Amino acid sequence: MTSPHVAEAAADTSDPRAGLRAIVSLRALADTLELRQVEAALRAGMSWSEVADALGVTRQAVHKKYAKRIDPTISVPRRTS
Amino acid sequence: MSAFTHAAATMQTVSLNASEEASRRGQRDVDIDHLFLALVISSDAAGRALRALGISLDGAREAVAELHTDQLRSLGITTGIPDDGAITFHETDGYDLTPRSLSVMKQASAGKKTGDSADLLRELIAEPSGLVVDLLARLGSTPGDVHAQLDALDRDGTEGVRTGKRPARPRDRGVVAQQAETFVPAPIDEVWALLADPARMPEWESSVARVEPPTSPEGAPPDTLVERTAWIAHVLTERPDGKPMKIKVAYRRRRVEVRTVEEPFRIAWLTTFPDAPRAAPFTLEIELSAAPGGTQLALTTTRRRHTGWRWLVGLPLRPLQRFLLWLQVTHVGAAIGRVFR
Repeated sequence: MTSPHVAEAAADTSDPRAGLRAIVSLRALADTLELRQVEAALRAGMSWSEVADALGVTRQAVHKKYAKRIDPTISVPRRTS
Repeated sequence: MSAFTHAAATMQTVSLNASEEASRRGQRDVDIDHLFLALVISSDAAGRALRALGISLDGAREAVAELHTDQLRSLGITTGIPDDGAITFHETDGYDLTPRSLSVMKQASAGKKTGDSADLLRELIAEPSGLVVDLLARLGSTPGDVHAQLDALDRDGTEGVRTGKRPARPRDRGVVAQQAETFVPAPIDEVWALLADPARMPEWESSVARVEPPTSPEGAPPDTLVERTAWIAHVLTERPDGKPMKIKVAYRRRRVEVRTVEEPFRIAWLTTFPDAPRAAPFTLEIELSAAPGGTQLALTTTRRRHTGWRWLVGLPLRPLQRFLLWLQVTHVGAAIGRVFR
C-alpha cells in the first residue's frame, strides 16, 4: 500500500473507538521496530548520539528508553567527548 | 499458603509469563494481551477455565497476532507485528507493565478480591478497551462462557486457597521444603523426555551449563535412567552477555543423582556439592500428570537444614531461606514451561 492510502485509512474517523484501539497496535509496532533499529544501529557501531540524531530526539531520551532494553550482548562504547 | 502469598505468587508468575510472551515479539511493554496469554498457561483456575473452553496457547497467540494485524490493516498498514517465536526474556532486560496492565493487576486484588488468577481474568474481561473480549470472540468464546467456567471451578473449590487446602509440610523438622505448581503446554511424554534426560538439564535448570555422564568401569553409561545413578553438572560461570559470574570454585561442580524414577509420573534429583562437603544438599521432585491441553507439574524442592551452631545462626534467616527456595522452585517450573513454548 502506498503512503497516500495509509494516510487515507489512518485518517478515517468514522469509527473513532476502533480507530483509537488500532493506534495501540500501531504504537506497539512502532516500538518494536524502533528497538530493532536501535539495536541494529548500535551493532553497526553507531553511538547513542548518532542514534538520537537520526531519531530526532536527545541523546538522553534515547539512552533512557533503550539502555536497558537493548540486547545485552551489544557492546556500546562509552561516550568519549 | 495464605491468600496473600498465593496472590503474590500468582502475580509474580503471571507477570513473568506475560513478559516472556512480550519478549517473543521483541516487545518490552507488557500489555493486557500478554497478561491474557499468561493466564492461558496458568496452572490455576483461570488457566483451567480457558483450557476447558478449548483455548490453547497456540490458538490464543494466533488470535493476538490476528487482532493486531487486523487493527493495523484498518489503518492501512499491511505489516503485522514481527513474530520471532523464541522467548528471549531471560537474556534481555527493561520490561515494564503498561499502565493498563498495572491497573488490571491492582483491581484484581482490590476490596474483597483475593488477587488470584480467576480475579485477574475477570478484571481482564471487564477492562474497558474490550481487547480481551475481542480475543475471546476470535477464540469462539464469550465472557459469559468464561464466567460460567470460573464459577463452576469455584464451586468445586479447585483454586486450592479458597478451600484452605495447604501443601503438605515435611514431617522431618530438619528440612525446609517449598512447592510450586506449573502447567506445561505439551503432552506428558514430551515433558518426561525432557526431564528424564540429564543431558537436557541445562534447558530447564538455568544455573547448569552442561552435564557429564557418569564414568562407569564397564564403559558407556546406561541408556535408561536408573535410580542412584549420578552425573556431574557444571554450573554456568558467564552471563549471556559474556560477563563472568561470581561463583565460588567449590560450588562450580554439582553431583546430580536421580533418586526416584516412575515413568512418566515422578522423578526426583538430589544435588550435592562434591567440592563443598558442608554445603546443604537439596532435592527436586517433579510429579507429572496429564491435563487438558498439556501437563500439570507439581514441583517440590527440599533442602536439609544445617545442624549445630550453624542451625542457630540460620534461625533468623529462615523466612528468607524459604523465600529463596520458593523462588528457585518457581524458576525451575517456569523454565520447564519455556522449553515447550
